[in-house]
Amino acid sequence: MSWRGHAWLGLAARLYLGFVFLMACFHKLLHPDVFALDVATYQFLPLWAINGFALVLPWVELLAGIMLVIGFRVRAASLLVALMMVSFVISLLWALHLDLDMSCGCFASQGATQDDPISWRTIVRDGVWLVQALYVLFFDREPLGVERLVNAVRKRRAAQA
Amino acid sequence: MTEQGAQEKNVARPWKGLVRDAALTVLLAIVLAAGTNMARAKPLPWIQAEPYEILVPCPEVMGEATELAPDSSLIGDKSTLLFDVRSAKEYAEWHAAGAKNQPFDWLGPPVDAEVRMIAREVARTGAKNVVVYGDGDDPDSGREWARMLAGARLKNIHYVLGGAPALRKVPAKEQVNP
Repeated sequence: MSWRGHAWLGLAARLYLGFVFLMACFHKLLHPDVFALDVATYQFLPLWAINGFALVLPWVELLAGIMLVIGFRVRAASLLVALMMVSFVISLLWALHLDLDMSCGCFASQGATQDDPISWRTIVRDGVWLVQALYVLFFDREPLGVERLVNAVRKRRAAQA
Repeated sequence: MTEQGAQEKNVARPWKGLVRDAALTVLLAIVLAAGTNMARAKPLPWIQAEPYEILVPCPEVMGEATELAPDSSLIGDKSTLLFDVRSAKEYAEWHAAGAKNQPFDWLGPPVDAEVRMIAREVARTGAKNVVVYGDGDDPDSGREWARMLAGARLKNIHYVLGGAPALRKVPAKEQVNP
């Protein structure tokens, strides 16, 4: 658990996941109404929950992405990412169960069905991202980044004082 | 509390701080979502009143049907169920011997009921093969019907290449001219 390499492997996983989530949130933030329709297309959430989910999720993705990239509250961000990935995988399995011929809606709207159609590949991809998030959550205990840097500076100052 | 004390507490209950940070992040996300949504010219209501009009293409359950030459012996075989999927008028004008009319409407409602009817017919007659022919156009209604039957997991489904026009050119022994 205390192997120093975890921090570097974790950094690679964090940067990758962080940029994935930053890219994923972009169109959702700009067009929450379109994303709400994407969410509705899954026929998974009740009607009353769709818009709230469509409004808040992109911001959670953005914040988690930034936190992962800069190394601030990394484990909390990876916990959020892991929870999001679990919910995405469940939704995708649901859509496959219903035999819905639709886009994932992960990076673009339903209009781009051909770009990212739902399939077992999509589920495997999300599963890999879930594993990465869990790796960061459980193994990257001292993540490289802003928070570690600030703590190191604080300790140095405390030692000097 | 000293820094060392705080660290010990974090080690003892590592998940508490983690969940708190995650919850605070979600809270911040809600605040940001509410703020930006209010700033929009046309804010999205937090609770949708009207159901969304979902535009998901209907899943087309299509299987692969075998192509048959118009002079195939399977077409006149006693163990074969033969279907003419052209309109009733076209069927009345000419149809292959033994063919039953099952009109296929491209723009009509889903044909699940017809598919089930054919499945029952296959079970009732003990037919070994189902052969479908259509208008022979591109796309061919016979081929589409056959693929739909194959997609419904019916086995030994075939369609006649070229449809009715091709069948009509086959020597008259297997044809009916009413």
